[in-house]
Amino acid sequence: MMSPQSSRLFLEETAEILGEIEVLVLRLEDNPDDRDTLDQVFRGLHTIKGSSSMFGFDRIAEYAHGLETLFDELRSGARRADSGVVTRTLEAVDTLRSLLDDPAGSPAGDGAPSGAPSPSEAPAHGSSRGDVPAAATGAPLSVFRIQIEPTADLMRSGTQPLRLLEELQSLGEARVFAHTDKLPGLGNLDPEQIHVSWTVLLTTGADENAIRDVFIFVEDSCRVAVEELPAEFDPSEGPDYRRLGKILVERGDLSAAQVEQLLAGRPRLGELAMRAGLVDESRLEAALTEQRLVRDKAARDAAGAGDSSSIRVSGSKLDELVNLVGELVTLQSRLGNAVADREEPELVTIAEQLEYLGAALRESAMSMRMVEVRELFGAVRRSVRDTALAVGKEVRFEAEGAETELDKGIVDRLRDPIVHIVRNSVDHGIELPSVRESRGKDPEGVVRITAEYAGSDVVISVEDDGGGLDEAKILEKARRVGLVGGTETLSRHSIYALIFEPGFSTADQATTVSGRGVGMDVVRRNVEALSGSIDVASEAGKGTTIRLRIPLTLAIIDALVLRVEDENYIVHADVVTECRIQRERIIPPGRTAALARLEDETLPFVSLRSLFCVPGPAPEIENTVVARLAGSTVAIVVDEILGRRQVVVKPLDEAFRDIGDFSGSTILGDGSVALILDLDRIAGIASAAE
Amino acid sequence: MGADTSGSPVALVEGPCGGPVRLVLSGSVDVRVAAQLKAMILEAVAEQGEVEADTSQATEVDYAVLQLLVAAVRDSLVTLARPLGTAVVAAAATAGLVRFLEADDT
Repeated sequence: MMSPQSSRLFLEETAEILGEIEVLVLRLEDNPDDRDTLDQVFRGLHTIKGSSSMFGFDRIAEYAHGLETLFDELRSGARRADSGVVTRTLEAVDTLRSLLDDPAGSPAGDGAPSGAPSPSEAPAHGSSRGDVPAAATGAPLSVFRIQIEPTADLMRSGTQPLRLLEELQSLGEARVFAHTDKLPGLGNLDPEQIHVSWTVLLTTGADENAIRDVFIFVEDSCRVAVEELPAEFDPSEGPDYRRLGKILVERGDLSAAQVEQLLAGRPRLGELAMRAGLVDESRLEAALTEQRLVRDKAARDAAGAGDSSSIRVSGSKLDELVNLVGELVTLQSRLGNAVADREEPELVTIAEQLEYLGAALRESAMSMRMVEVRELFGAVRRSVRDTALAVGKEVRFEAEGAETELDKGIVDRLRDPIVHIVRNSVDHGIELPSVRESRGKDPEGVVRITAEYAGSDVVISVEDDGGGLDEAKILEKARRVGLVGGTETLSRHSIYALIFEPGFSTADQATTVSGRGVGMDVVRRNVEALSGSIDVASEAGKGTTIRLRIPLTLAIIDALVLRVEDENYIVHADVVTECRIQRERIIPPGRTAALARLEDETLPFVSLRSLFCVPGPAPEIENTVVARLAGSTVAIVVDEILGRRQVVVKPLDEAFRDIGDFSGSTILGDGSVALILDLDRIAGIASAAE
Repeated sequence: MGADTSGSPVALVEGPCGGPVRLVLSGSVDVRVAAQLKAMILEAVAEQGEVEADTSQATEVDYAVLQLLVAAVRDSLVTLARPLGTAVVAAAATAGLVRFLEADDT
């Protein structure tokens, strides 16, 4: 049986490949003949087909096989990647995603037909297994070609060739090619003898000796050649015939285009060799894989990534690591406090070094959670396309800053809000082509998404060049539904904020994609749940920009520590706009909240002492913290404000999650626990109390 | 008809509805039964013409057995019943012999 871990890895990797395929297919819409893109999609589908088949996900393998056949036709020029093909492929990608989610696609629930592809369409001959240990050892990666020719009697000595191959695979990423050309017919086959030889291409951080050690006990019964493949490869030079082409172009005998044309029609060397019967398919595939591995390694080195590799780690393990690092930082802080009062220089030095290491470790652990927003942008691009098609508009998608990194958890939770904003931009913002033309605009509208760093935040903007928000229409609708009083006047900013109210929509007619007023309120709620903020700018006739400001991570926050009696509470420092000493009592005894004037506005005040039933009398002089959230403002009354510091957020234990007034907890430098206030909830309590 | 319960890791059983005879591999199947396995395949092919190998109950397969299956499938003496046994799939992946797993229905 496949282990749950293998199953999870397969599902994760396949989902990742599908995301990449989706982006590539969308690229085909602009450039349907791009051979490189077609090849990449084909390879992705090939990988999905091979791995799903290997792990017994037959329905997925079958479906991927159908798609792979389509892309084979596209690559051969038998078909063209027109918009219909792109649409069907995107739908097929969705279907594959749903198969991944469907337990019936798994081996356990498999009742599907075999759907086995024909030999000519079968997946890659070689198999690849194993992680890359270099990630653990930190050693640079090398590619080794290992040729194994066992004597026929190897198994008679009790040696299992599978164990040898497994040992090799444990050293790194191995591509194994079995050469079966000497395998006799079943009638003549001695089942206790070996009739196969192997080529293994191993990408590893291990050295040649480690590889040779695998064969240490079979030296007499196995011929093994280990060769490290050259580390340097200049892809621009290519094979010899390409260099000839370069010379001909330089001499002016041929144009670059003519050379390309000639090369495109020329049979590849491998094809010629196979046709001549000089090599069989497995040996050719081993050679081609070797070429690709060396080229990939050269590309990695050129990109400065030659000294790194990647391994897949589950999010929960990273969370655990961050959690432990948080504990370590807390402990270090306690140590710092403990040694501060002692005059022991050596101890102080150790504590300082530990503090330095703790900070570096924390930074490193946090960086592991960061991912590029590139994949998110891919989903947005798809949404722009699908929505534009659905509503009959022409929309060009532009993206900038895809390399910007955010906490993985945040990226996942941003997907739905951003897709919703973009869908609204296309549906409501961008005008129909005829309308745009009548307004002197390009019939093709533009939706642009950008991501950029802004201090400890990332700002993601969705901008369209549509008609802009109609302030009068928004206000009129708001008055009609009672969100705004009949005579009340609002600033432009406040009018724009109305689009985030539940059930608010100015669309004359609800469409299948938007216009029911469901969504933008959810967008705001989701963004605020990420401790982010949302801002709208618009200009009539020119377009709208919606800007989301999101913290880089939620695992460490900039916090303000508040105290009531002996209990500590935390609020996000970002939302605190004011701290005041409160000399007069604002909330009457026995009450939790009250409305009171602060400068020129009336605010709800909440006493944490009353809210959390902290025993004991309130001090003569209290403190007030004013927190401004996107939808409300609340003043929190506490005994003391201890100050601002960075804290590591720890999730609440299951047993405390239903309490609701807290979004997490943290451990302070003195070892005490502090609860992080859910300010939305507290603001709601204040309003309700009034 | 169910699998043979005599204890041998390889058994021939009649296929459902008069279909091809089934060669059932169960438990740990290794070089010790390789010769027997080869003989059973050849005999069944001679008598019945078609053999379908059911690998779903095999918990371990060694290289000798894998090599036999590769030759038998390549020579069109045996087809592989679906779903494939994970032990066979894993062994084939290790040995770089994945292709034969998918070449049986043509």
